[in-house]
Amino acid sequence: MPYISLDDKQFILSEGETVLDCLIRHDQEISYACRSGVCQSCLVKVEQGEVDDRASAGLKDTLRADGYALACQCAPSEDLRIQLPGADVAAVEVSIYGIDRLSENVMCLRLSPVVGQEVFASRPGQYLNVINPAGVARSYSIANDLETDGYWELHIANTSHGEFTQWLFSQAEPGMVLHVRGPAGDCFYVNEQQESFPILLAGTGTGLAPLYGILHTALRAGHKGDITLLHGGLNPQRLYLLDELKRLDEQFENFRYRALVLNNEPKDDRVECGDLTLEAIESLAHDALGEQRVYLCGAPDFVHGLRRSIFMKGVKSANIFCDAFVTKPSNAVA
Amino acid sequence: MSSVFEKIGGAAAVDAAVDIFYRRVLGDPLISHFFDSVDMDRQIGKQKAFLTMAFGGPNEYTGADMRTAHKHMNLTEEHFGAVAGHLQGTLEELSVPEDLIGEVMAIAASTHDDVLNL
Repeated sequence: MPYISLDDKQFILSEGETVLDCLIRHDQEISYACRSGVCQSCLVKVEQGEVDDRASAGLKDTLRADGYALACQCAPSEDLRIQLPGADVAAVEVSIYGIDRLSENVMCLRLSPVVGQEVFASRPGQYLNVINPAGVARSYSIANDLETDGYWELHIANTSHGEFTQWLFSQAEPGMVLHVRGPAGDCFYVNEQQESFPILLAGTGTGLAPLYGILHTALRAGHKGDITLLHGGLNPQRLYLLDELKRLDEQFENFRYRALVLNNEPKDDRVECGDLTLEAIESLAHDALGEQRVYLCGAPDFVHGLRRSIFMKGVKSANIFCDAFVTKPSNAVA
Repeated sequence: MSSVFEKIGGAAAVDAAVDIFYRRVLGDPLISHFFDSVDMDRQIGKQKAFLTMAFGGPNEYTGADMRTAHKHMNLTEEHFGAVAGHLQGTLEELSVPEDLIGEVMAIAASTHDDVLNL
């Protein structure tokens, strides 16, 4: 009989037994409810071994791509190594590779893993938990691909009372050693069937970071459908990477970038006045709502409000990916 | 003898129904505020659990759970009727055969007293 490995424990499955039943039989703490593959309470991450399609039916594409499966629908015929969501993965030691200003109040922090350790897989758009030398931890979204660049790039806005940002803006220096845990979040590009669906990316402030990562992943994958990126802020000073994004807009025929502000003061010709929420709804591919993918990142009110409007317009709930930045240590703030 | 849940198409039917049902509910000003929870993924999960139950599928709901979950919401007959109407409308939109719709509506009706805490 196959067995399940969880942390440092192993459990042997009975004939035809599901992973959920086996874990319950061994008094392991796992959340579950419907036991019929519907409620998705019993999500587990499969790290090693194959599960059949039944175990991932109904999951968001991003979860499936990240190896998640439903324990109650999973009766494997081979050994599995699994992890429960939220389980602590060993922290990775990183050193500051660079700190550069992207704008007056946004810093680009680049972190490269110290050589010789095992580094977890991560995707542009997911978020990491970063722990500074004083032990202050905050979550920030990944704006690039570690595998191509050799470092993680994070965009961090200065918040006047933030313990982490105070340290970053005044004391952090290249070469300093930090720790990183992660990744988390289902806000990333996935397109296993090479489809040409339209993508809308909309964000406020440093919500641009995950969107920027997703954009680059899609462009590098040669995504065929239209991609629209809307970046919004109160005024032009809240926006950044304008020239870089304008350049990509010119370079790629299927990519369109718009910088939107409520108040164009001091006036910037690269920026237009407009309501981000309204423009985002307007930018949906109204003739292809069933295929439309939407990524929303940034201020919680903006993200949740727009998510609902976009769902009501007819976009499938499973095709809307969100990352609301809450200013709380356990969630993504940038 | 297969259950309504199997006849209607099982988990795949729930997946097909959930967006339509949730969109109807959110679009109804009489009840949409009950579904204002910010976490839409969680809400969708709850709607799926409800639909599974209404479709006669395997679920862990008990009458007591239904009571507790709806206790402080001050629900009236009107609210219950609205949700039931959206459930029926969803099934009609999906062209579910009339006799199966009848079976689903009977299961939904059986939660009446628990939902309204009567």
